[in-house]
Amino acid sequence: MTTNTPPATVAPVAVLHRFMVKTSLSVARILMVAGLGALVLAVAFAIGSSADQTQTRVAQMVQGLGLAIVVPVVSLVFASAMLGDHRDDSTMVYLWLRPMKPWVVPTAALAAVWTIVVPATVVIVSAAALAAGGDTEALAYSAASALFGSMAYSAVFVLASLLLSRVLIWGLAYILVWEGFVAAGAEGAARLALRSYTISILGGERDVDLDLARHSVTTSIVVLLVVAVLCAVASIRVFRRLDVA
Amino acid sequence: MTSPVLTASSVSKWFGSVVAVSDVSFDLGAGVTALLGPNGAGKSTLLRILAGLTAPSSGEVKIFGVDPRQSPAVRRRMGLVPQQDGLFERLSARDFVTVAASTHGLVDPSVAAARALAVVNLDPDDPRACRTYSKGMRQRVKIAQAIVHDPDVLLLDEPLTGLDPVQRRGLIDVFRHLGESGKCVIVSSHVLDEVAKIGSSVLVITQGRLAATGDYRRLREMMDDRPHRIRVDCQDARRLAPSLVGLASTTSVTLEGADRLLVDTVDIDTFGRSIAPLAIEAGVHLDAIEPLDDDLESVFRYLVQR
Repeated sequence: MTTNTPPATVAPVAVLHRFMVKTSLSVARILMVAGLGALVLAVAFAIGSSADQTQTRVAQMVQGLGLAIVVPVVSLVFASAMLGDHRDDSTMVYLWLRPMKPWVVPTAALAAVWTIVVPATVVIVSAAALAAGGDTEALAYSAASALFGSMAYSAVFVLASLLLSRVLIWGLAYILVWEGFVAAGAEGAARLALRSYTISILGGERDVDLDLARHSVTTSIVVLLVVAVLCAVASIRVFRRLDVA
Repeated sequence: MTSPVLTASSVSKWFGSVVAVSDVSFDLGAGVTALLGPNGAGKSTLLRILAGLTAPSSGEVKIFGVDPRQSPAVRRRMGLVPQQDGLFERLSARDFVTVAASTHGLVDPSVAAARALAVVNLDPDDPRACRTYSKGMRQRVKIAQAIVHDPDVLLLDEPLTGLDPVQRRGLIDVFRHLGESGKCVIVSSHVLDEVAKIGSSVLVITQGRLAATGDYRRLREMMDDRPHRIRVDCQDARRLAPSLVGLASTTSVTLEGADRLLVDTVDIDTFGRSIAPLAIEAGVHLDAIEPLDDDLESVFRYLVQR
C-alpha cells in the first residue's frame, strides 16, 4: 500500500468536481437537455419568423420557456443527481467517509452542477432569444437571467437533495405548482419564487411587459446570489450532520 | 497494556422506539476481531457508529482517542467496507479506487489503486464499468477502496459475501495478515467457520446488546452451565461406557455403535485426566478423542440462544 500524506483540501475538490461532472453526465440527462433546448429553439424560430414579432414577445418567450422551464428543470435534474443519487443508492458513504473538510463535498457538488448547468442554460436561453429576433439588450438580459437563475436554482436543489429523498418530484412540484401557479397569483408568494427575480432581470430596464417582473435588476441579482450562498452554506452544515446509510 | 485503538463507551442507538444498539462498551487493540450476531442483531448499525457514519443516541466512540464523526484526521486512518452493494457504477474499478485514493490525499492515487486492486486479485487495467461486475468482483472492489490508503483501522461489514471459496481463502489471508501487522481489523460476518480462520477474538452482539467479548475458546471454557460434548473412538465402547458414567462430572454417555461414545461432561479437565487411566483399567484401546462443541459456531449458538 502507500504512505499517508498530510491533509489536503484543494486537490480533493478538483478530484470530486471532475468525478461528479463525469458521473452525472449520463446519456439520458444529455438527451433531456438537448431535447429541451431543441424544443425551445423551435418555438423561438417560429416567433422570430412571425409577422408580429416584438421585443416583448421575445421576452415573453424567454420567460415562458427559458426561465419557467429550461433554467429550473435543467438545474433540478443535475443538482438533484449530484449528491441525491449517492444518497439514494447508498454510495454517499464513499464520499462522506473520506478525510476531507466538511465543505469539500458539497462545494465540489455545487461547482460540478454549475459547470454543467450554467453554460447549458445560458446557451439555450441566449440562443432562443437570438432565434426569436431579440436585440442585443434582449440577448444580454436573457443570458444574465439564465446565469444568475441557474446558480440559485442549483444551490437550492443541491441543498434539497441532502434534506429530502425523491427530490426530483419535490423540485418539479416547486417549479410547476409554487412558481407556476401560486407565485403567479399572490404577491407574497412571488417573493419566495426565484422565478420572479430571474424574470425581473430579464425585464431589465427595458420597456417590455412581463408578469412577475417586480424587482430591479440589481435587487434581483443580489437576491439570487444571496440565495445561492445561503444554500451552499446550509448544504455544508447539513452534510456535516448527515446520517449516512 | 497499550492504550486501545478503538473504544466504545455505553453506546446506544435507537430509531424511534426501536433500540438497535443498547449500552455497548468494549475496547479493541491491534488484531482481528469478529463482530458476530444473528441478522438484525445490530452489527451493521454498530459498525456505522464505529465508522462515524451515524452518531450514537447516547455514549461515545473514540478511535485513537478522537470521535471519528468529528475528525477527518481519524477518517484518514480508517477504512470501511460497507454492507450495501452500491458502487460508482459508471466508473471502472481502477477509477473508483483512484477516487478513493485521491480523496485520501495519496501522492500517486492511480498507482495506489492498482496496488490495492492487485491485493484483491482484480485486474487494474480492466476497462469495464463496475456495473458489469459480478457480486464477488464488486465485493473485492469495495475491499480495495478500503485498503488503498493502508488504514490502521479497518471495518469490514460482511466482506466475504458473494465470494467463491478460493477468493474467501485469499481475503482471509489478507485480513489475518493485516491483523498480525498491527492493524485493528473488525470483521462482521455470519460465516462462522470463515471467521474462525481469521482470528479467535470475537464480539458477540444479540438484540443490540453485547453478549460476550474476547477469545471464543476462553469463552467456551467459561460456559460452566453447559456440558462439553466429546466424541471417544475406541475398540469396545460398551465396555468403556460404565467407567465414564462413574465420573462425577459426566452428565451423559451415549453409545454410537460398537466403537464410538458421545460423552457430555461439565468438567473437561477432569475428563481429560481420567479418560486414559479408565480405558487402561477397562482394557479398552482408545483410538481418538475429539471435542465436538468447542468451535466458534457452538460458542456463538450458545451465546445467542441463552
